Amino acid sequence: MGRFLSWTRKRKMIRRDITRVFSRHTGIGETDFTRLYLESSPPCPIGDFNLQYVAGPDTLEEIFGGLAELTGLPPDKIKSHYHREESFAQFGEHLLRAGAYGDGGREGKG
Amino acid sequence: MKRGWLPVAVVLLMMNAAVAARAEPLAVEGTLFFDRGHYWIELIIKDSGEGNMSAAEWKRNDFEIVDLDNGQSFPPSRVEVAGGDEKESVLLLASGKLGGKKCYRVIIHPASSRKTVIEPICDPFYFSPAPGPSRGREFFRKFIAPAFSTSGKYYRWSRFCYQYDFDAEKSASELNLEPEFDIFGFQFKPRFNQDNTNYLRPPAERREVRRRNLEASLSKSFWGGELRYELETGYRHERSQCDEGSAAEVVYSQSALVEGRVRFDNLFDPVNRHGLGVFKGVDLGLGYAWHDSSTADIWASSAFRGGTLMLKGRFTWTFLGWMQFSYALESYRPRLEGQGFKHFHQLVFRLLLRDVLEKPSRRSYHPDLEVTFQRGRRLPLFEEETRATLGFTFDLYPW
Repeated sequence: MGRFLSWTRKRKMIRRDITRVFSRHTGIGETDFTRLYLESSPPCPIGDFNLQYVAGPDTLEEIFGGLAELTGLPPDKIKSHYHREESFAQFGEHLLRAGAYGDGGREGKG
Repeated sequence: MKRGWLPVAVVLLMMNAAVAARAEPLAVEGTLFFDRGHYWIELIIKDSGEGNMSAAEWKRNDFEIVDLDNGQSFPPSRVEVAGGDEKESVLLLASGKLGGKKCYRVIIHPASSRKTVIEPICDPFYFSPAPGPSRGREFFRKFIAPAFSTSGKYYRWSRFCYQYDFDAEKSASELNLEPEFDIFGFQFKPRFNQDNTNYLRPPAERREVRRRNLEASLSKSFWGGELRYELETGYRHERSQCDEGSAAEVVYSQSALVEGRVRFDNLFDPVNRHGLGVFKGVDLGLGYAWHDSSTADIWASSAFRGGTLMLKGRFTWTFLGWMQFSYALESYRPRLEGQGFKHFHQLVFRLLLRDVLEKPSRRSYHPDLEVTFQRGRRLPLFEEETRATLGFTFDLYPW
């Protein structure tokens, strides 16, 4: 049985994992990704990131695979919540509602 | 009687002093989330070391929730203990008045502590995403993009059909199908393409060529540190019909290749910091191809008479979020064609209209305007090719 994770804690974890996985597979550092796509006001849409930093569909598949390892969700489910008109914070919230870290998750590397 | 109230007064003063010593605001973190069909406010109350109330002591009247949009305030209908330990308590506030796309303020006023206010506690969907402010984008949105609106038209394939006659040189891409499958971790891509291409042959003799090709590739990628590596093997069969006057010449060709590619995007993190000019898809590749051509139909069972070393490089640069340049170079050194390298250049320029103009019906976004230019010699025939295309595309990536 996994340890209890508050929603506040899970929200921080998904934010950390999204930052790590997306920046690892594209040409943007973690600090810049956080500044441009997580902390900006209003938040930048996912489509903007796809346009500038995603080299091809294989990049996104690898990203979804990386998130699947960390969150415990299947890659297809993660992909189904990835909407170009939404923000990364909203993408993360979709994943939490879909059951990410349901058994406590893995707090490993991205 | 006067002596009777004195002990009571002393006791009251001692109680007030004790309360004053513990009347510090609580350290609280609040989150609004949706679970089990309802919205909840989660409060994490951290232990301040001054004898906090235990989780079970909290009552609904200790809390007041305020809707920041309309100012309405209400107590929670229920307080649940979600978890916690000796360092913190995790409480859930429930109310049928909590909703999505909202921000709230929570006021905690227990008897043992000073009033604590936590705000804003917002639903992530309260904030509507929008591209970052940029004069370049605003200028593009107002004065350039509207000239290319395609309201009322849409296309079925990711590649459009185009014909452009420039000094008797004609090029048309009519059909391109390229599904992709994942088989045991390998990406399998069968591809069908049919197009008409004019080839320029010395001495300035132009012939119209119609090509039909079938292609299949198998690839596997993996990461090593900051770099992405990919190994691909593929086979391609092509039928080219050259029309010259009343005569038609049919040439069959085939090629098989093995190629390794490395992607260097992560090395561009410092360059891509501000999103003004961003590099992506920076790839270098090295490989070898076997090829052959004949006027009789040939397939994989036939021998390959030719072989060539392959060097490939490409990159994409997005400028100000609305212009995108992509360049690719393929270099070959075929044994059968004599000495020296043969080069093939591809340049793609896109105006990124996708999120700026109104999207067509049943489409997620407006197509981009794309101009491509190709020139040089490449597999399988190493004939001089010159090709320019102009039109709209729904394809999200340049290659």
